[in-house]
Amino acid sequence: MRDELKTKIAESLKESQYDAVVAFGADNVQYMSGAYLHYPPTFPDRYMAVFWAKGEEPVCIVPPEWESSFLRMAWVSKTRTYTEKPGSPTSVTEAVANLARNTVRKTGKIGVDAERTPLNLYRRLEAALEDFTLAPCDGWLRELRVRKTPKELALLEKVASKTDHALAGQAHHVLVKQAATEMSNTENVRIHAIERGLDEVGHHAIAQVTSGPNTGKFWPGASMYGSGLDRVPQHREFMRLEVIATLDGYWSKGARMLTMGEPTEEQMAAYQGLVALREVALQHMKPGATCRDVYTAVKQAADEKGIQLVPNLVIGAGVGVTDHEPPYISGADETVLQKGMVVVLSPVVEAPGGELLMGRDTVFITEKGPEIVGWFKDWREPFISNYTF
Amino acid sequence: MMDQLEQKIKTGLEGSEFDAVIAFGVDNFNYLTRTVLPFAEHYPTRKAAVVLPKEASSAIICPYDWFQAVKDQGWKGEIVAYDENEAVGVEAMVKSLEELLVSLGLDEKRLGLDGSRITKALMDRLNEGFPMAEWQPVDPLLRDLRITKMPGEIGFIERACKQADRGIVYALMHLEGAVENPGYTIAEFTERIRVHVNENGASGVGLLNTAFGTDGQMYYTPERGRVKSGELFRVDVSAHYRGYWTNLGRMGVTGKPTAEQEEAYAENLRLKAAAHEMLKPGVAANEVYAHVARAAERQAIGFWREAGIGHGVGASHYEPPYLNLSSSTELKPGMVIALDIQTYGPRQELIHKKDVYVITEEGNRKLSWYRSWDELYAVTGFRATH
Repeated sequence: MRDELKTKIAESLKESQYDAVVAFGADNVQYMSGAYLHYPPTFPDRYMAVFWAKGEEPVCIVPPEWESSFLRMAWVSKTRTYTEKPGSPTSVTEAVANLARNTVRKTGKIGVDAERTPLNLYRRLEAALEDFTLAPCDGWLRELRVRKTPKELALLEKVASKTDHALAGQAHHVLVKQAATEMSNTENVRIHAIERGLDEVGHHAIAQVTSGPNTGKFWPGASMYGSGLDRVPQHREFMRLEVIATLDGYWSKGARMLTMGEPTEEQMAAYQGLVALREVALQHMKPGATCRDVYTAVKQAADEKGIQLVPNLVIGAGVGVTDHEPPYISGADETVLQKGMVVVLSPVVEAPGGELLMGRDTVFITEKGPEIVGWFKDWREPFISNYTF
Repeated sequence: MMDQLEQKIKTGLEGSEFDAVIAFGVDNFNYLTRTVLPFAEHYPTRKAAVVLPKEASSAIICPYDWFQAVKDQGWKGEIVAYDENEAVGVEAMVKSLEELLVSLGLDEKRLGLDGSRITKALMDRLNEGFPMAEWQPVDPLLRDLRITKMPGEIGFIERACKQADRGIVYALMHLEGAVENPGYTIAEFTERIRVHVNENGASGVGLLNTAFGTDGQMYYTPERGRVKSGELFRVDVSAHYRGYWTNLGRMGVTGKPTAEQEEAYAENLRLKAAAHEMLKPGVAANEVYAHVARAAERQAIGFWREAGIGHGVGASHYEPPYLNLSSSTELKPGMVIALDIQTYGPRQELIHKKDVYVITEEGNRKLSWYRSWDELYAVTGFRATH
């Protein structure tokens, strides 16, 4: 992956309007360095950056405490540390300024990921780089990240496949007559993910299993997110199994439905609503279509068929070095789907009993059209738990 | 507890020069609303914000799927769930915020925001949307509010400390007798810690790192490989109870510790004792640091100077006051500190015993008291049935 990504970024930078770019966002730093440190987003007072000048090797600026961990995981081999005063961006911006003075012509244009850079840091950066022109480079980064390289695609397929296997692996342990609590099921989803080699690291790498009335909420039991509650699933109820996982810093977002025993007609009908919306989405997720086209078609199908599509949410989002990124399958996103994009399709349907049904599918956009990857089983029907041994 | 905190925040904001304060930082949101968002730090394009006007009730703006979670945590103000099909990314939140500020008559007022959390792009967008408003950073005010804790907040942190320590101990007990047969992967051991912390009542686990052998030379390493006998190991856990965080570090050895490992650990405890005697009101954070540095020189003990020797915990797992060379913050009663001095083991493994203390009128009180950890935890046993 290292050579592929490094070449892609370097060549794109060469063709760009920027003489250098500097990125502070944890996701952008990971993308531009290969170092998956899952914790920086939870340290908003500590700063990390990648500085990349045209025609030069990228350099990462890190707090001293994180440097060796960074180097262990990164394909960027040059680092600079700075004297850290948490919450004060002075030292990190001085480090950026030193790199800029050595590699960028005076008045040169330096791109900054303004959609990630905190205001106080940006202001300090402006002062430190007064000889240069600063400009946002979020669009450039977005275009780079939104289409994946072949090796990124291979890794994302692997993560999606392991994730679906983990969910099905735990689902197969669920027995109507010996049902365990949601908490126990939740933990076992995580264990099945780890058994398949996934990393369950980072605050948001979570599993969540809900059942019956608890499936009527996105996050039952707040503020205990992703740990499951002590409720025992009952016969004829829906169970929702969710997991967010990563492998080498690339993410997957999985969700599947299970019925506690043979599904009732009502359950099957509600689940078929989810299946129908997936089919409609897949019919439209072709290169050249916009995300908005896809959303509109799905919304229209839901309205026509009386399927209760949960409103106000995107019905899919990109996945890569984060589990939620462009493109968004949304009524507002005009992004044109192209080969190499990867979307986790995730419409949410409300069943007549109020349960929120989810089935998250990882979809690759290929020249020939959309391709679901990683299905452990055919999800045109839910997982049906056995009644007993 | 939350009523007292609510009153403290209200009084703090009323005394400020702003007509309203708007916070975008996940930690500030947590603090100001007394609610926890689901992993919001990791979703930079799905913003939530809290608006705290001086002369109207407060309001939250958040994505639709977070609405219920906020409500379930007892938020009594308005909640506006924005539509992500109306605009892309952060713009969806901005549209709702615009409507809210206009409805509250705040669109031409003096507004405080957390400049260390809001992004440059979002600030530009707000300036464009509200050309008549006067936006000013309010970070020092938020910092001052957050840095000293109310008794109820300290109680929550103390609970989180106990939950985390019990989680670590219970996971270690599973490891006892199982290192050689049937064996444990590091990933599973790490997961055991996480689930036991949750089982003990914690609302969530944040940073989780277990480092065995030479992997312990680094702050963090991916969880790869298997647990082996005879290795020094480090467990780092941050976890919260209803949004109040602890941040602990524990050390052990798989098997009986060697004399060198014990001595290295004892060195760490000596420096920690030096710091401990300085954790009292009136002492500046950099004086604590300097005292430790002098003790280290006197006793010829090496420690990781650049990393500092501790930080605050509260509505986040890493916050002011920072105990390092440059911070002159004076310690005051109610401040809660994770004391974290990192020294070196026989193979240059990082050694620490990270505990949490509250500064009191008399000095300090340990909140992570569940187990002393004054010796390296020895993982022994011969039955894999613990």
